[in-house]
Amino acid sequence: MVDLTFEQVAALARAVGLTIEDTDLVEVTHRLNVVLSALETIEVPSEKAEGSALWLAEGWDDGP
Amino acid sequence: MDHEMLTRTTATELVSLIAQQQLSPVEIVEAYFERIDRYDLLLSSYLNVCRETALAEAHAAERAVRRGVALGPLHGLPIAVKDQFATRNLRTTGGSTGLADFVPTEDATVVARAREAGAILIGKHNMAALGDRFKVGEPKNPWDITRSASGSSTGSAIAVAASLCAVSLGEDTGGSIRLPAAVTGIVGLRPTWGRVSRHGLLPLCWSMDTAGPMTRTVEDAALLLNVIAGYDPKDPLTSRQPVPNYRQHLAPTLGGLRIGLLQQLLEESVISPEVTRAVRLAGSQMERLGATVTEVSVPMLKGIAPVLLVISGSQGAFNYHDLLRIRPSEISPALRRGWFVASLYPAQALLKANCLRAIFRQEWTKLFDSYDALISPTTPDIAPKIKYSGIITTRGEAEQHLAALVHRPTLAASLAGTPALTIPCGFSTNNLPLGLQIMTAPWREDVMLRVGYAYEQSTLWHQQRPTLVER
Repeated sequence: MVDLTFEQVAALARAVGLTIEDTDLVEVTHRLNVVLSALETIEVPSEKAEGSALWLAEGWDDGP
Repeated sequence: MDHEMLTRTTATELVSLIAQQQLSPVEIVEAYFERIDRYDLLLSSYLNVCRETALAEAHAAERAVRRGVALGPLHGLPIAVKDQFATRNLRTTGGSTGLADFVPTEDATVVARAREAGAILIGKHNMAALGDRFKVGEPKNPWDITRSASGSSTGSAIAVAASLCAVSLGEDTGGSIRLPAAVTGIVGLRPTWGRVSRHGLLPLCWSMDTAGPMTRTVEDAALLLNVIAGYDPKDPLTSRQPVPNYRQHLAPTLGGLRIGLLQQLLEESVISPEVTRAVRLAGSQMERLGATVTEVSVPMLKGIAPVLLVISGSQGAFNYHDLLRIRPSEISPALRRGWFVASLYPAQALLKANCLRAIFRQEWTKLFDSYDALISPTTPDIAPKIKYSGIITTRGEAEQHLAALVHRPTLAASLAGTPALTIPCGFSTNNLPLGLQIMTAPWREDVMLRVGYAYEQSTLWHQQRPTLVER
């Protein structure tokens, strides 16, 4: 994944109604890039790609 | 009883002595206020102390005992709660200046249940969750005041460890009960998600937030969990399952139990050798108590930190979006930046994280077909020195920031929604407490407490107190 630039992150923020001051923008950009990169390295097994079904609905309350 | 001895007495013993009219609730409440006056200016564990109402309630509790009326299981017991729980007519800030004027009209369900059981609320505990800088001074670890007591149930852990309250209620999203409990040498219990009501709790992440006991003994944790657990119509995500009598399951041996030592959380490249040694010794002690202890590998543990960050961050940022949009300067800088980050995760990232969480939960809960309990360190190291983190200016610093989270042993139970308990398991060479984490299948708090109790009763760690607060 190519890292987002400061300008791109500021624009993304504006798209969700947020204004990030310059004092915060550098940290926000680096942290966002690092988390997205880390998540990208984790593979989801294709046979389990539908595993995101709400686990709350999957017998969570069955008990011991 | 001497006031110092009185504040060392366990909650279970206190309620028993009160019921037998051998101790007065007034005397107990006064003894705790004496200690708060003496030590809390230094320790900063309280945001609010309810002196007048607590003493009035203590007098009423004393009269009730004399009248011989039926007493609740916490009758006359001084309790304090993290400032994340709503308290009727008492300011509730979540540690944030943005909520400085919030005075709830209703108690959080867990607070209401503790009061209905006879507990006396003596104050609200300092916390860091909604503010990375504390409002009334940095809370100090009573074992070494130059060190942090972790967070975010910081004040609760300090007050219990320093005997400034009998028990406390904390809140745990990714480890906020267990981490401070471990580094202050007390017991901290994160229940199964849905076991305890979240009504009246200032939210961080709805799918991970849990309220739980912070106490000096496992039996006290069992006592308090029994009071707060169970279905609450005000929180539709609580379970309707009956709540067992947890104290009845406590036993001094572990015969027949299968316990797994989590390999990934014992790697000395990431966990302090002192900590791993203490946990391995705890495993050996559990074998002597009758359990079968073997090592177990869960490779997926290494990849869960970004998953938890994306999910919990997104939910937190969503909860506080208006504050972040309209009054960002009222949020502490570190938290504000974290929520900005979390507001910008692409939908694809959140969907992937949710998918990975579901897969992890399946793998994690399946482990309990083969093990009754899993054990690990609670923290990778001893309590760190107090320091204020500066602003991150490079990608490398951001990577270090994430790496510090990757090795946190508390994440698995948070992500899977399963229960976890921390209890003391030793001390470092510089006399700082070390924590052992015990984890079980969903709803098996009974097994978790049994394992913790048997180990605790076979050691002396829980009887140690910080020298700072010795008379």
